Amino acid sequence: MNLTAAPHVPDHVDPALVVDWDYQRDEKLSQDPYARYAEWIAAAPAEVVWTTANGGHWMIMRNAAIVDALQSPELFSSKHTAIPPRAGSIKLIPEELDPPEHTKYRSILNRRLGPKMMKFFDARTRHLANALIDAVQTDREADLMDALTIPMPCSLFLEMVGLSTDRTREFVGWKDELFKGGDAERAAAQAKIVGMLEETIADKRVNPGEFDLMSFLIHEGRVDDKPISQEDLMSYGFLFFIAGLDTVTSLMTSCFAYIAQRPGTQERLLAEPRSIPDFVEEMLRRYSVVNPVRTATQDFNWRGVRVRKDDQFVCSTVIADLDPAEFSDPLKVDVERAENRHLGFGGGPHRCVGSHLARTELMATLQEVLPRLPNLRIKPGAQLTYTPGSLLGLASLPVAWDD
Amino acid sequence: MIIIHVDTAKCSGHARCAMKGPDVYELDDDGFCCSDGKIVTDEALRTQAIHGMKACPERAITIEERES
Repeated sequence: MNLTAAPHVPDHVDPALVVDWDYQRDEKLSQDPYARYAEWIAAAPAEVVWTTANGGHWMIMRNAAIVDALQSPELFSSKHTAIPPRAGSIKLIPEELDPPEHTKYRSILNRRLGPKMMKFFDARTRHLANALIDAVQTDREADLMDALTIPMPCSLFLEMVGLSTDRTREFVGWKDELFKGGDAERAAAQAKIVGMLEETIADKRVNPGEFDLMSFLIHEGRVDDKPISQEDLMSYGFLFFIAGLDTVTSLMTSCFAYIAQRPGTQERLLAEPRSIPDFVEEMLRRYSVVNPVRTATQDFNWRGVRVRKDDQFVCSTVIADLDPAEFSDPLKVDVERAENRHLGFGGGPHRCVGSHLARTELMATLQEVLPRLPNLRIKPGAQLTYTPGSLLGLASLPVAWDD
Repeated sequence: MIIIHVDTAKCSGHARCAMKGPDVYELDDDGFCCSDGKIVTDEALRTQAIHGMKACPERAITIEERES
């Protein structure tokens, strides 16, 4: 008897397109996920391949094809955000909706999180970043994730939903249980977050805040000319939590890790502050974080493959941003790239609604923190490793600096 | 002179055009590009117009060159 039977491949999939790449659990991902993705891009037998991992799904291997899929929600639905689909979790609004339903819930957020609102968040970021650095500066060493890049987006999240940043540490604990815990821990963390959101919503109904997003959604948000329902407010709150924390932490950590590993970079950025926006854009490209998932709405033929309804696709921002057909020498950091149309924030109607906020957080944090941690470097002997999973990010960042 | 064309169905509000070409591309309150049809006659702004076009992740911007 053959105990290692080949995994089942559906009949509609051309055998020439089959690979076994696991973007969630491949063992090389903990060392350098970007190098691993680059290997897959180079080895791909076609621009769309089928992998037998994770129950079987498509992987799109070229930037242009990923843009195409993200811009075609009528064929590529956002109804599931995981492979395989997860049952029983709270629906994420507007992330798991498709147009035209998506548009109603999304447009409310666009203005409130648009570029013109960023002055306020810029000032808050600078204040919060300095407060976090005050707590560790004289230690001359820290895990910069614990000290800065984890609590920073958590604090800003708390302000956005209208809560005190005093609760940041408590909140970081819930986040770790939700993202890293076992089933029981996850359920308990979800219950605590739901309780916290319910408490905030009840409070903001009576005592609206001036700037927070939850007060705005409760008192000014309209969907189909009606106030937003309690259930939908909870979904929004949960999405801000899921989408706005680990993603920013990951990219911010990559920025500081890059700087700490390359002597001279910190000084150059400080000497030329106008280069920081292009530096951040290149970091967003080179160290992209997320792997958006789409699900086929129907049977169709697309870019040489036969697709069946409910087939799932990974539309990886990492693959899009390391495609050598779009970016020459893609693993190289080149701040002066003439064309950097990266997909770090995804694309199409679901383009990350928090992208302007994330950019503001990244730039303002770098500007405030770099002058305060001179000669930032990786602690001698420390090995940087990545957390496994579909969201790419370092596990820790032990650094040292001078007085 | 050049004319800016923006495929507003593709624009999804990345706002990269306005970052790379702040004197050419304007954003509406939601952060979407509202410079479709804009005519740029100032040759000094040509570079900004091209950089903004090349930064668009959605490939929503094209530039038409015309004899003025």
